[in-house]
Order: sequence, then structure tokens, then C-alpha cells
Amino acid sequence: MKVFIATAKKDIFARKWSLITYCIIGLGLAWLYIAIFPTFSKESAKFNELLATYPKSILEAFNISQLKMDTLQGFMSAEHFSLVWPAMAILLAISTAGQSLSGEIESGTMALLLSLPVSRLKLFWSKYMAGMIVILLFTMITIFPIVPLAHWYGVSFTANNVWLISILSFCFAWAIYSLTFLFSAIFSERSHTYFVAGGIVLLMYVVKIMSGMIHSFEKLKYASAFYYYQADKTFVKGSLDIQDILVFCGVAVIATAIALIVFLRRDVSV
Amino acid sequence: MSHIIQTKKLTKKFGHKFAVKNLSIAIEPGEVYGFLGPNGAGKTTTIRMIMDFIRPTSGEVKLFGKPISEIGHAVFENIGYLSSDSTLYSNWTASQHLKYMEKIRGNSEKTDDLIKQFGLELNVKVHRLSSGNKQKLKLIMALMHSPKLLVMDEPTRGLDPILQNDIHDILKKLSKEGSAVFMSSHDMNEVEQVCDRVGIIKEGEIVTSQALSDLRELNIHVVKVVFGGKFDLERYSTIPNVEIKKTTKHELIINVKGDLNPFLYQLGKSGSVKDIDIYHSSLEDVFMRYYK
Repeated sequence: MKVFIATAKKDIFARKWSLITYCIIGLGLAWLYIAIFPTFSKESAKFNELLATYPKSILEAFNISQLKMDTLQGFMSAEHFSLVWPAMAILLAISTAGQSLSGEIESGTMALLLSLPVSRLKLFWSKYMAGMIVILLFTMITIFPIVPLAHWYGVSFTANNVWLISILSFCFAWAIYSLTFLFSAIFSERSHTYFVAGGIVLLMYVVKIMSGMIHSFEKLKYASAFYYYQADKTFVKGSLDIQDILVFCGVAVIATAIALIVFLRRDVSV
Repeated sequence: MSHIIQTKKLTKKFGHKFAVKNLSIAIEPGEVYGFLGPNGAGKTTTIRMIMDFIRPTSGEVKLFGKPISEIGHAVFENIGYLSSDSTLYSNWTASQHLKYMEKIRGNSEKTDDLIKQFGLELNVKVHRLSSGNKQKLKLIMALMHSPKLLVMDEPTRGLDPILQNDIHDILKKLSKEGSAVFMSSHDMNEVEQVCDRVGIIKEGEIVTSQALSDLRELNIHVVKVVFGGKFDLERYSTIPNVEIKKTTKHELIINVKGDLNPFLYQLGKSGSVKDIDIYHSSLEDVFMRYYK
């Protein structure tokens, strides 16, 4: 256990500055949206009217079909959780997972770890869990403070929805992290991991947009993680679809299992 | 007693190319084994298989008498590893590296002595350390837990002669205490100074694995003769155990394998020898014979 803790701690500390930076930006943006919401809400009727003129497919394509700008949940779904938060979570997940294995192989420090009396299995889990903790901390630090901040600015708010959006957001980030971890176990260079994982995420985003706009592509939406990240439905209506959670968990578990098999069997030329 | 390292027909292929082929060696406790070969001969690949970084295509590695695939990583408690190619965490200090090692391997009483011996700066970040100091840190990390086996890939590359000598002394001391050392090197002088046995690897295959004393006793003499005038080269080149290395107008340099007498007999008949120098071939000469 001490080996596990020492190695996980090492990895978390190695990511501390990026975690702090991401948390400050994520929390700062959430704070900003909450701070401007009282002013914005006075004009929200106009925005709702404007949104009503948009084709439904466009709103669905950008996961904002449930949008009502007259509530903080609706406003933050549109401004924060539809793009900014997932984008930050994706960047953090990909950079953390990429550094974990392929980063250490590329820099040569993996030789130091593999020469220790630590099995590859333990090494894998300690590194994987370190990344999970980074993702979890980012989720908690950037989402949970919404409740006290909303209270501070006197904005009415359904606190329970914060729990739900936290669960959905964490599962989304976990799936992206695990998928990237798989590529990190396969490749010996970070750039390859970032390129493939980033490419897949970008492709999934394009697929989600296309499937909403082009009728013949409609079924492709099921292949996109963004289809299952229904932040507006979860945060505005307080409805967390268990199917979305299962998809994220399924992707995470399968990708992690394959990553583990690959890492246990692969040659590490360091 | 079981071997500390034993490889049996160890083979590694990358694609269709053999990096290591049917390599069988055995290293005893207390033995310092030098692994010689030029770049690309398969030294590092062999070391990576011994350390379980990469897996053999066929054959097996046994450490402390048991196959590496069966014993698990607990065996690495008794192994120290140093590679001049491996890197350290650039944003950590030497002290952070040593503390991390102690968290994994447990506290070590030798660490402070080693730090004093090498004069290592503890609180400087690794990216600010000189290559010599980085190598010192790697060496301390490899030695701090009194390993029963020390695996080293070119341990003294790029180091100054004083530090090289310190390392040689440590290796000799470890060997006296019963630890085995497996080291690859380009430096013949280093191998001659510290190794008990030498394996020469060529294109992935071991071409010889012998005690250093046996290699010296291959009985190859290098003979340098200076003649008073012109000499008859054919007289010497036709002697079966003579190999002409170099000739000038008045000078002849040859390798004589085995009995010197037929050569000396012919030399005596020439009657024009001005100077003669006979010495045993060095490890480098032996090495070069395999690489011709």
C-alpha cells in the first residue's frame, strides 16, 4: 500500500500546477457566470425569445435543447457546461493520462520505476488512481462551490442539481481519461497519445454536431460521448439519465481493462 | 549455489531482425561480469530483458535461480540498476529522489555514507546538476540498498577519471561482499580493471564468454620487430600461427597465436634484428579479433 500511495502521491504532485491552474480558471469562470447572472436575468426573456427562433436540431446538436436563460441552471448550462467545462475537463484528462505512462516512457523515467520492487500491476493502478484523483478534485473544486456562490449572490438555485451535474461531469471526464490512458499504455511518446485521443474527442464532437444537423447521420450520435453528456437536462431539469452514466462507466472500464493488459504485456524500451 | 543471473537461449526479435540471439550466460555470486560489444550489438536489449523492461521472443531469464516470469517484482528488492541513458525527474532534487526510493524500498543506512563519499549536492534540482552529479545520484540510488545484483549499462560513460576510479572501487568492494555485478561497457580498460569474466556480443550473439584471465591466456602475443635493413616479409607470413598486422620498410608488427618458437626461429635466421618488443595482447586486441 505504501508503494501505491508513494507513487500516486508523486504523480498527483507532478500535476499540481496544472490542476491548480485548471481549478482557478474553472472556478473563476463559474464565479463570473454567477456574478453576472442577476444582471443578465433581467434581460433573459429576450434571450429566451431569441433561442426559441433557433431550429430545434441546432439546439440539440449543442446540447442546449432544455435551455431556459431565466434560471441560473439554464444560464450556466448554456455558458459553462455545454462547452467550457467539458473542454477544460477533456484537456486536463488527456494531458494527465498522456503524461502518466507514455510521458514517463518518453522521458526515460519509467526505467527508474520499473527497476523498483513494484509490479507493473501496482504501478499501473497507482498511476491510474492518481489521475482519477486529479479529475475528481477538478470536478469537485470547479462545480461544488456553485452552491455557496449562488447563495452569496442571492440567486435562487436547486442545490441538488449540482450533485447530479457533478456525477455526470465526473463520469464524462473519467471516460475521456480512461480512453486516453489506453493510448498512453500503447504509445511511447506523449505526442502520439495526445494526437490520437484528441483526434477521437474532436471527431466525436463533429459527429454530434453533424448528427443533429444532417438527418441521415442521426444514428451516429450514439457514437459520440457528447451525446451522453446532457448537461442541460441534468442541470436544468435535475434529471440524470442512468443510461448516460452506464455508457461513460462502460467505456472507462473497458478502456482501462485493455490499457492494463497492454501495459502488462508490452515492451518498455527505456 | 544457484546463479544470480542465468539466461538460456535468450532471443529477442524486433520485426524480422534479431537484436539478441540464443544468448546463454550465467553469473555467479561475487562475480563482476563485463558485457562487451559495439553500439547495436545487443547489450542494452539484453540488459532490458534481464530487468524485465522488455520480454524475450524466446528463451528465459532466471534471477536468483528462478524464472523472472514466475518470481514477480519482489526480486528487485535485491537488484540495483544504473543506466547512463535513463533519466531522473528533472524538477526533483537529489534529496527528493532518495526519499522516494526509501519510501518504496525502505530506509537505508548506507545512503548518508554514499552521499558523503560522492559529495552529492542534495538540494539542487536535477535539471541544474552536471551530468557527473546526475550519474552520482543514479549510482547512489542503485547502491543504497546493498543490492545482491547490480545491473549497469555503461556506468561510467562521460565521467571523470577520479569518479570512474571511485566506481571501480565500489564494484570491487561489492564483489568481495558477495554481490554480483553485470555491466556493459565500451571501455576495455575499465573492464580489464574490474571484471572477473567477460562476454563479447556480436550481432546479438555471444561470441565468447570467458574469465578475463583465460582471455589473456588465449596466448596471443603482439610482436614488434625493427630490422636493420630490408626484410623478407614472405618468410614470416607463411608461418601458420602468425598474422601480419602492420609492415613498414624496416618494421614488422604481428600477432602470434600460441607457440612463439617457429617465428623466433625464422627471425633468428634473418640475422638483421635491430630491436624487438614482445607483449601479451590486450583485451582490446582480443575484442578486435572478434570484430574483424
